[in-house]
Amino acid sequence: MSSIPLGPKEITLPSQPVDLAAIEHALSKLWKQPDPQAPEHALLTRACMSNLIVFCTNQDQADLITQELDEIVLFHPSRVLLLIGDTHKSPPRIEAFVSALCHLAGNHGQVCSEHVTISATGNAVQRLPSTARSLLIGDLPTSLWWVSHEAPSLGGDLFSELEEMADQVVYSSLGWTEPARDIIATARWAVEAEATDTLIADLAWRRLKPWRSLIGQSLDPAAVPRALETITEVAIEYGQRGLPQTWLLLGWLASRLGWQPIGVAHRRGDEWRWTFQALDRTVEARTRLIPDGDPEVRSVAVSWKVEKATATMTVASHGPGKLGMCYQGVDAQPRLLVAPNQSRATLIGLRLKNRERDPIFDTALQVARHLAESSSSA
Amino acid sequence: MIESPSSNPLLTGASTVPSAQPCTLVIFGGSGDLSRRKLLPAVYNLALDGVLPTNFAVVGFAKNDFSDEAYRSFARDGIAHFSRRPLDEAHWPEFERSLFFVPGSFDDPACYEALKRRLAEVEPQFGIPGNRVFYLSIPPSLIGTCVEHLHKAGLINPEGRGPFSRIIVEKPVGRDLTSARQINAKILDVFDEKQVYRIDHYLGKETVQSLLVVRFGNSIFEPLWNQKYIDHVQITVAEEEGVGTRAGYYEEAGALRDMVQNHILQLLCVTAMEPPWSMEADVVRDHKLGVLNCLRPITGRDVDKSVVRAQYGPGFHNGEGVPGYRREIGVDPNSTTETYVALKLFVDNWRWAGVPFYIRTGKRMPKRASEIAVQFKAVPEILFNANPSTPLEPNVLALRIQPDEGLSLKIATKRPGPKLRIWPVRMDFRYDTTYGDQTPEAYERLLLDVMAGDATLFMRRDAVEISWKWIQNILDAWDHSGTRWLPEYPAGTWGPVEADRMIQSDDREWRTL
Repeated sequence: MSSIPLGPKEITLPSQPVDLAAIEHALSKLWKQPDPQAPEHALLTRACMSNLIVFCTNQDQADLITQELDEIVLFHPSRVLLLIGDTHKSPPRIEAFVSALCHLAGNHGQVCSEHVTISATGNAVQRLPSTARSLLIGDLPTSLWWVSHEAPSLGGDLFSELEEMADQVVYSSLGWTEPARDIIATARWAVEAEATDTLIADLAWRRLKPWRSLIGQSLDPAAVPRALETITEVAIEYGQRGLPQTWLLLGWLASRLGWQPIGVAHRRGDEWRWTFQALDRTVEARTRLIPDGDPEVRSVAVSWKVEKATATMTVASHGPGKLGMCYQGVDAQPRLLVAPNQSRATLIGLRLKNRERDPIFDTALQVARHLAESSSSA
Repeated sequence: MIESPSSNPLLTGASTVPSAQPCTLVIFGGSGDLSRRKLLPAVYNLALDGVLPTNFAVVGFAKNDFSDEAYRSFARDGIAHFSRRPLDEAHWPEFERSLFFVPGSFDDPACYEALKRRLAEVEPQFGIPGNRVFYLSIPPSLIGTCVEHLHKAGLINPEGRGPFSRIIVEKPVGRDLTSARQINAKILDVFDEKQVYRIDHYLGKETVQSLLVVRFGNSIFEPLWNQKYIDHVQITVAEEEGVGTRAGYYEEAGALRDMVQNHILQLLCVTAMEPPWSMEADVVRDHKLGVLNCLRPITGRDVDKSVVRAQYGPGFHNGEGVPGYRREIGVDPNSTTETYVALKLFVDNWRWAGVPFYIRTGKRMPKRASEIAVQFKAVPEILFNANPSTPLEPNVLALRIQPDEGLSLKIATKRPGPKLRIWPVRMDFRYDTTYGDQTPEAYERLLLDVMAGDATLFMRRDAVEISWKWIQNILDAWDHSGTRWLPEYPAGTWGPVEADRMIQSDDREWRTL
């Protein structure tokens, strides 16, 4: 994976208010008007590899997303439709702005992406999908980035209409307010989405990639023979918003290693326990909330037993962008690894480039659903 | 899913990039220029990308009397200057911990014992199960010696038994057909062909890999990709630099051996090959071999007609005066080594019958530029192309390999206005502006492939020897000609007039890059 080159941003054509019916015309004009700040020879090239619809529910979120868009379109030039739907605000109103996001491209002038913001309040929020539909560029893939504190599929008709336009829906389960409800709803929706060929992507799952890679390598038979088929215990610690992510990680381990969840979850304070049935043994899994600090998964300890000797491999976060790995009971040095940049914008950019279904996520999500249901009934 | 002790389901399908296996990378010539400029920066970028195996170390092996610390400092300097990513101070201490150096002469058995002892220390420290990749960044004449000593020191495991041992051999493999066969024979005395990775870094470049996708992933090109619709193909590999500090090597090699035998013939293969039925390494390599087998030999007097060789004379580079080749340090003042070569060749098969491939490569050209340009046949001389004094420009599909990797397609359009005026426009695709992120260096991809055991982008023994066999005809003709003087082209120009005349005699022109 590559990180984003943070090239100097030369200009951003200023945001201009426009009539809804004149958005496309205003976008065309952007490419004709000379920029007074740019040198005469500066070339503006419109680049567009896909449509990106972003939906959020308030201006604070929109401001944050707008800052991230620079980085996203640098990674994957797109026509961006930022939809702000604030149903709690009145009176009903809808307004649009257009601008361009530009970056220097070596000696070849500037490469720009179009950015349309459509802000709606009250009942006017219902008009957002129809407005967006007319602005999509045909023949290009469309992604919907759903920014919300609940699962996308709980977004009602508005989500359904926007989802219909998209080949892919991107969301983050970090920060979901009701993790069990949201994971269960998402897992059900994922099954339907597979039938309609809509891709779904959870940024929280994507953030686990370096963890999964490091765990996989550290338990590789070439490094620690027989560890994978003798695992007896998994312990995961997570931060305040990391429960869905923790379930996904546990779901991944279980689905990849062929463990079936058995019985119900047991809770003791901030700790949950599950039991899985492997081929010839049971595997105990514990998850524990660490209320302070980093909100995501913080550490994963996997223990195994070969001929009465127990060993443990622990992967833990060592601050931003760093993961540490150490063994107990295995003669090998601890390692500290750099995990590539995991900003939200980077992850969105990567996801826009990727148009492949992730079957490993699909199966992990279904196990996570089982864990969530088990927790709900505990 | 069934638990299997021999596989790792946690890594299966986890990434779209090849899954590198835990190993030690042993670099013969670890203190050399290639190591400093390319190999160590490539390893560093792979580490930053998080795609190196967790259990991994680098051991440099060369004559220098480096300590581990000195080697780490050497690596740091190279990475600071040549890495596509800036050196990250926060990450550096962990990275440098995995770098080691063993001083030693390549022909001294005791040094291989020292290397063996060092590997036995390093590998357990990093949890490396004995897998080794030996990168031979050394002159071809030393390959046999190194392989033999590696074998005698017991540093190589047979294919399929125990931890893997793989060897990377830099081009050129040999300097003619005989020496290439000798080197290959020596390597294969010890290694199985499956363990041998003959590297040509051009094949690791995105555009070269992309050419297969352009051809076989789009329905619009392949139907046109034949003698019915293609007028000719031009392959250019132009270097801006002169011979620099490589005079010793270059005097023995020349442009034909240095560039055509490997890089350019490989580019030709990717351009001209038939569709492979899978992307498995041997399937792709079989299809490339098919092209080499169809190359029409250029022999005897045909060499003078179809091959132009020349040397750069004094001229200018970026406005500064530069000496001619024979005045370069380390070059024989009477040298007849070519710094430029242009060829016209044919691939004698059904698809390419009668389509000339024009190839040129040289040093001290106006700029560094490599491309494959496919020029399509002109439309009939009626309608828009009816005026013979102003013929329409033909369609050209150009694949830029470096710099600015990408492709462009030239098409005719009508200029807006009341009059019918036709204007050629270029539809341009560039990797950096389209995909935004930095393209990995070719060595990054290729090193990762070796660690993952994927030989698709590496040359097989038969391909190396067949390409040498084809080149050998030209070398033999040159040897027999007894030439004492080569045409000159001024440094900073696109080559000698003789090359222009060669292509002009076919009513064609070299492309201006």
